[in-house]
Amino acid sequence: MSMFSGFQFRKISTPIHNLDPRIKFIFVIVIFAVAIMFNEFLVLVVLFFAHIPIVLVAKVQREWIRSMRGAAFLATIIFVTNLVFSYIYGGYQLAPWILENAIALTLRFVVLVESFSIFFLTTSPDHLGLALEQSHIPYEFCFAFTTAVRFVPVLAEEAQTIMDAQKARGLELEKGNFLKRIRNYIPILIPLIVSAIRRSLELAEAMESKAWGAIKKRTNLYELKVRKGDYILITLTIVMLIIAVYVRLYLSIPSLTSLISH
Amino acid sequence: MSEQKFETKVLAEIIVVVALSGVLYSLRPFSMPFGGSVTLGSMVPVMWLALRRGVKIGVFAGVVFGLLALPIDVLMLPYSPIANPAQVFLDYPLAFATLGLVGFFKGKKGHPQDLAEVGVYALLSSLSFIGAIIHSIVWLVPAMVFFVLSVWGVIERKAWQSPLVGVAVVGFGKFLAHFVSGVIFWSAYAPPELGPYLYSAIYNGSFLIPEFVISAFLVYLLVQRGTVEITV
Repeated sequence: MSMFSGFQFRKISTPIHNLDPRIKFIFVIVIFAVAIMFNEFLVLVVLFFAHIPIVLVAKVQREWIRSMRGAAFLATIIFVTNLVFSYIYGGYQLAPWILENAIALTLRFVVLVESFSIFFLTTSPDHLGLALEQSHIPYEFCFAFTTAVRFVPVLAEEAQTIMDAQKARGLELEKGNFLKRIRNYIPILIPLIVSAIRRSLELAEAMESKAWGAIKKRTNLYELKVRKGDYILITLTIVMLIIAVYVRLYLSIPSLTSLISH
Repeated sequence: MSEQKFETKVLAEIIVVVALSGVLYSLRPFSMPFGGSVTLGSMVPVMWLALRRGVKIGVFAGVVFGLLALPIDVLMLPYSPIANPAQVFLDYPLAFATLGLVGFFKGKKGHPQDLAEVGVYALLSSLSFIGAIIHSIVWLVPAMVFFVLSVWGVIERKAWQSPLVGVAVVGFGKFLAHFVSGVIFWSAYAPPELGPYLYSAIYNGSFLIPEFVISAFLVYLLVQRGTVEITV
């Protein structure tokens, strides 16, 4: 099912995919903080284009373009509302700085979407689970989360099968008033729950046969280690944060409008 | 590592039910620009588990579901449901943890017909309460009257244990979490003439009310058909 393709994480090995997810998360948070700190068009443009090399190295251009295309709609709404309101409050004058301001606020939103989508596009569920586990979150929780992620495509297929089967038996989902439609949904929901419970017994047996919970202290085959790339990224992140704070406090950034007019 | 908290069987049930909720969560006929959508009863499996296994397990499953819902929203929706780390905590793990609270309401009583009146009072009460927040304090009077009437209606019918009341409580809890996050973190997107409170109430109400009406009806039907006690 194409809808669930998002969960079938493409396992490829690039320098970005191999980074420690914790460091990547810190990086995303810092990008977020910097984007919030600045209203200036120039800074946000730089932030926007700074992501492109990361996308190219991680080879997720297609997914990235898809998410950017999706963000375009909302970005347009933000742009238009900003423009219209500052036009009205600015006394019905369309100065260039109004346009620049609206573009800057829109870009801020795009940068946020961009950095979070890169994080999720380049971090496998396994890595995420491992990161959760090594941040001292209870193991049951991490296990439940990562296993549930893996079960989603399986159960989606089963849901599709059950829907098709019930439709073949004459269940009409798109008929009747609101209450009738919800009632029609029950012949799908109950088999789904029953089959899920059945599957949970299988899962429990599999877990028990692998001695789940028998050992108090677990060890992992793969451990998250902070490697060379991670040190580079964390250094870059810290440098970026320091520069951003310094620029914010001590320098004023010229707006594009003033640069052009001088 | 920590002590084992659940039986293996229960943990396996949690995992599968959360995955089922995740599947339903991604089938959405309608969704909102900044996240939040009317789904095909995605809350139902987790609430069903809470009724079956109790509050603690329900809350655990809710938190896992919240964490699962986050990447679904990020990957499936063409926009970012994330504005701030604290907002993520409010909108995902915390809002979804409330689903487990339905486990307190394991009674069999309370038909929808009985509760329709109570529901109307509760709706009027919450509307007046929103009025009190955004318009003037006078609205608190009808809010209190309708609130007392709805509580009295539930007590009088001995229906407070009904899962339907549980779903309403969960709906209110989830609304509260999203409402607070909307006021604090999403107010930048509110149109100026609405103000953050009304904007957040309208935005979150518009998808949570239909969602929970659907969920309440489905949970009621599931309880009536005795699926809560099934063993396979």
